[in-house]
Amino acid sequence: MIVRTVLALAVFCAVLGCSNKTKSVADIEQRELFDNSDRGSFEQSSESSDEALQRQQEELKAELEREEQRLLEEQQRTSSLDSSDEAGNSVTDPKSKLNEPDGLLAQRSIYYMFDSFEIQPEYKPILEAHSKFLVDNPSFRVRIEGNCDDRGSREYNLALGQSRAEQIRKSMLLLGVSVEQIEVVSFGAERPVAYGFDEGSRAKNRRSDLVYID
Amino acid sequence: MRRDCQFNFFKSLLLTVLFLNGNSAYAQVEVDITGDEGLRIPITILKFEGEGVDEPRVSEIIRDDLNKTGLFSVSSGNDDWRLVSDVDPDSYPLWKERRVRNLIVAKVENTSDGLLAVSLRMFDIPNGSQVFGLMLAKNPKKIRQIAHEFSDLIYEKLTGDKGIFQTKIAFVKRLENKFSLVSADYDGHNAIEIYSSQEPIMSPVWSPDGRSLAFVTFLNRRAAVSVLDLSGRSNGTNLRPKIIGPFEGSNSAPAWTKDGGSLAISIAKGGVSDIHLVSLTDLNVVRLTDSRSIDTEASFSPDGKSILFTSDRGGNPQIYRATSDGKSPKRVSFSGRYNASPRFSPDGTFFAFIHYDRGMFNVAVQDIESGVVQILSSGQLDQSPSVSPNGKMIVYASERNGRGILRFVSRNGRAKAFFEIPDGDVREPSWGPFLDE
Repeated sequence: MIVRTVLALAVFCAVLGCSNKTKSVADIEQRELFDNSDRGSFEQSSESSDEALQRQQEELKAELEREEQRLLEEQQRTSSLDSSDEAGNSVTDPKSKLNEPDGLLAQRSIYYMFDSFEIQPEYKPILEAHSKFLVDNPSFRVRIEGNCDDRGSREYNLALGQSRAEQIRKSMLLLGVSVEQIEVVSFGAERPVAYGFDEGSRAKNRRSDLVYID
Repeated sequence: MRRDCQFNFFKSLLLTVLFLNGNSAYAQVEVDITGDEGLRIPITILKFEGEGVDEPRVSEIIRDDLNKTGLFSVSSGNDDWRLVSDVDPDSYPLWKERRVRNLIVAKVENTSDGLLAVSLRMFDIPNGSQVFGLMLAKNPKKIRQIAHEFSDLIYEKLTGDKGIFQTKIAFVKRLENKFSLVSADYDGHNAIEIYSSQEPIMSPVWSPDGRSLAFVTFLNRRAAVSVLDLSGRSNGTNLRPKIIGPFEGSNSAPAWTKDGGSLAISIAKGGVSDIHLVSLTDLNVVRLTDSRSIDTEASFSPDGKSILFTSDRGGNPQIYRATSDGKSPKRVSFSGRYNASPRFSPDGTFFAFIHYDRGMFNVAVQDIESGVVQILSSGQLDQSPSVSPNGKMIVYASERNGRGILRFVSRNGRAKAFFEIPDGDVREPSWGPFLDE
């Protein structure tokens, strides 16, 4: 599961980079993407197929070992978090973890630029935290609710809200969350949280909410 | 001196009429006409004989109707003119001298059986003839209907086009968390809430026969298209809308085909919205657009051969035109980064849409043949245009003092009017068809 998560994270970064409209950020992230792919193609082109195969196997083995190490560390970390009484009984309720006021998981909204469904890089850690939580707690389900501000066409906004929520769903799937855990809806501009006609209110309405459902 | 005259020529006329109709919640209508008065048809509507000072007055309603079209220069004559309800042929020279061209006179009476009777005559003074004379007698509660019927007659005689003053509009009202679907006279009066819900209501649109409304509701948080049949409605009953489908994903943006037998519906299954044609008889679904982008807001041409729709396939929302089966889509909006909500005019010669430029969303019209665009509104946040069945006026949603209101603009852009309600927002108007009795 962790292997999947880590690999997915890399792909997730790449997806973010590719789809990002913000010029400066997009440039940096695309470069990262190219660095990764260059490494892959270099090995194939400069060595004979046997050597390449051997090297690939070694690489794979090393990666596996790294993953196992990470997995072990992860388990130790979670168990140390979970078991707080000496008898070794796990007492940390996933719900309370979800509701820790200072945690990343307490942040349930992703905000957008006008007429855009791109996830800004600053929201990546929030999505990663929620994805990890959902991977660790497969019985939990989340509904992603896409919303827009009131400008432009209401029907287009309904479709845009859907794209916003869908973009988050895709990212979470790449981070290892299973299809059954995610539901996607759009309210377009119909369920604003702020009713003002100023940019401050509108910025609050251009958002996707993550709502945990039991 | 000459400059002063010219200034006068382009004068702007502002009329504010306060309606205090007991059964109507709609408070204020304001009409603003600008532009060259010389290009407008002059009409003099004298004070009606026997008409009291209480609102509403038939003469005021007719004036307001005609003013909203931007096609007329309406005057009420001089106060010192003797009140008449008929014009003797001998007095035509006198009216000519007074520079009156088209003259309306009328008499208002209460009949012994409790009806309100209005006898109205229209004269063509330069031609020296009566154009028509008609008496309408109805229940006094139908005073607005009487006035609108006369407005339609006058409008048709003077322009050759059919008037829209007896047509209906539907719109969405929001009061806090309650949403209502409202049907009203075209000017917002005689409004009736025909369906309400705690869930948002969106995109109402009249069927071609004016008997049903298709609209969007939310079922279990998912947008779904409903049809409400109004033909069997008696006052005050909350009718049960019929859900069309629902089909997997978000269903929205209903658009009727001309025969009323099918709806184009935008269905977002697995992310992006595509336009589908749904038969109302067997719910058979045919996909019309198939792109990886948002395709929504279909509008059929009156000949049924093509559709306009909004798509962001080019990166931003723009308007596209395709054959009615969705084939060979071509972009038709080119100015500005955001164009949406296309609505074909009933004669198919133009479409109304929302155009975004310099931070403002405005109503615009584009000629189908030439592609020439004219921006008709000047608000910050204008939405949801709907064209009148004679193609001469457009109603749209706007805002005023932080509240949602409906505004009207004439096709020529010269006349503007609005109405608002004392409580809540109004939005998403749909102009109903001509109703042939």
